[in-house]
Amino acid sequence: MKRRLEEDLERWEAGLAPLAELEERHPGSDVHDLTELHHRLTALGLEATPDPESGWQRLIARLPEPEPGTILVGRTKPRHRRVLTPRRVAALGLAAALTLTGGLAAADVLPDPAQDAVANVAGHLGLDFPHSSDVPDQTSHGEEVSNVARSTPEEGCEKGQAISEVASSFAQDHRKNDPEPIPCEKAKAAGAHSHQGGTGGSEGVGPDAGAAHASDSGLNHRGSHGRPG
Amino acid sequence: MIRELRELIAASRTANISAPNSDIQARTYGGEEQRLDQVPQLVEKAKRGDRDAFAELYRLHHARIFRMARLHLGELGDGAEDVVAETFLRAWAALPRYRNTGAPFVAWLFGIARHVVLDEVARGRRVMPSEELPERTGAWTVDDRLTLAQAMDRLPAAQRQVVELKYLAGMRNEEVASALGKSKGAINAMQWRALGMLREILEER
Repeated sequence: MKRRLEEDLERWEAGLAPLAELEERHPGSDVHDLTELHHRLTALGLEATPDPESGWQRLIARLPEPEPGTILVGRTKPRHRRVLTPRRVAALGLAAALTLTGGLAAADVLPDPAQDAVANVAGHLGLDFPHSSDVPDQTSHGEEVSNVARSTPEEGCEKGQAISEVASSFAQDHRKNDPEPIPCEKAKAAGAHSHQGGTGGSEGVGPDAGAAHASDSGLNHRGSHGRPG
Repeated sequence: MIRELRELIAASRTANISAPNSDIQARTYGGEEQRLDQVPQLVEKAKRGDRDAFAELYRLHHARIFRMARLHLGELGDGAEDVVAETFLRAWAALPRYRNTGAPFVAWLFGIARHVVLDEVARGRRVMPSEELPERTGAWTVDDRLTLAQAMDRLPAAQRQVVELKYLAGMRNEEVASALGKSKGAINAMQWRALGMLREILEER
């Protein structure tokens, strides 16, 4: 069907154009046949129908009761799979970074500027994270002990005592309740006595006694267990 | 352009050009428009098992389904009424699964009724049209209805739906357009193309 004819029939149906005008513009039987079919179909939709009440009265007796427990409404919300959108990926990455940074800061293994920054932020949030200045530089202290152990000219008990003094210099608090170190002279005397008694030394006597004592100071020094060369 | 259109409308009013369907549509829809607006609420209530709401849906759509059934069965007796009853019985059972997709409720009912009609035809309830051509008196004879129903079955689904909603369900083109999510112009075009195809099919017979 031509578009022009469709438009004119539309105008005719809306009452904007008389039938004669359409028949004049579209010679032939198209307009007549189509408008007649339209009228007949419209009349078909207006035909009388039986009273619905009688049909309903017959129908209602046949309607089954809804089954008890049956959920009569459909699924209210469609299920959606969680999709990793770029925004979600960014949020997850940020959360992971914050968790990792917080863990490292709590363990006090971040570089000093980062440690201080995280400690400051955490302080605002009510969390107690250590600042870089709150703990001694354990690495340099361990190296210092190691250097003393390697370079000291002393031998035996004196060497051990020198190493012990350096090693314990950062552990005053931990040594408050420790017994006083046994002076070398006293240790020698005790060692001689024990040799005489045949019981064997057990008080840290010998070349490694000082180093061993240093390792008992309560600090876990890296490099502090090196044997003196 | 708009000015020309306004002048044209004014001229047509002055000339008292008859609007072929204005009276028919007024008679068809005037009393039911308000009740048809309540259909979505009635459907929701009926889905929850409200028989009163379902009764109202039955009353509102009875005539439409009856005409559709009568068109296809060609019977004026109990055949069409049986189709209506069976259609609403199936609708009652299927209502919990009904989802409002935007199409009018009557279109869903027509879909059920079409299956019921097919079942009825398979059981031999349909009256076959006679070989002789009926007289063109203007009124629809049984043969006319069956011939038209067969012709409508050969229409593309979208065009058949427009014809059913417009002529059997009595909806205006604006309402059909709104219900099917199309423009009024598209529905107008589909309507007249469908009529053109129906005319060709009917002339073949």
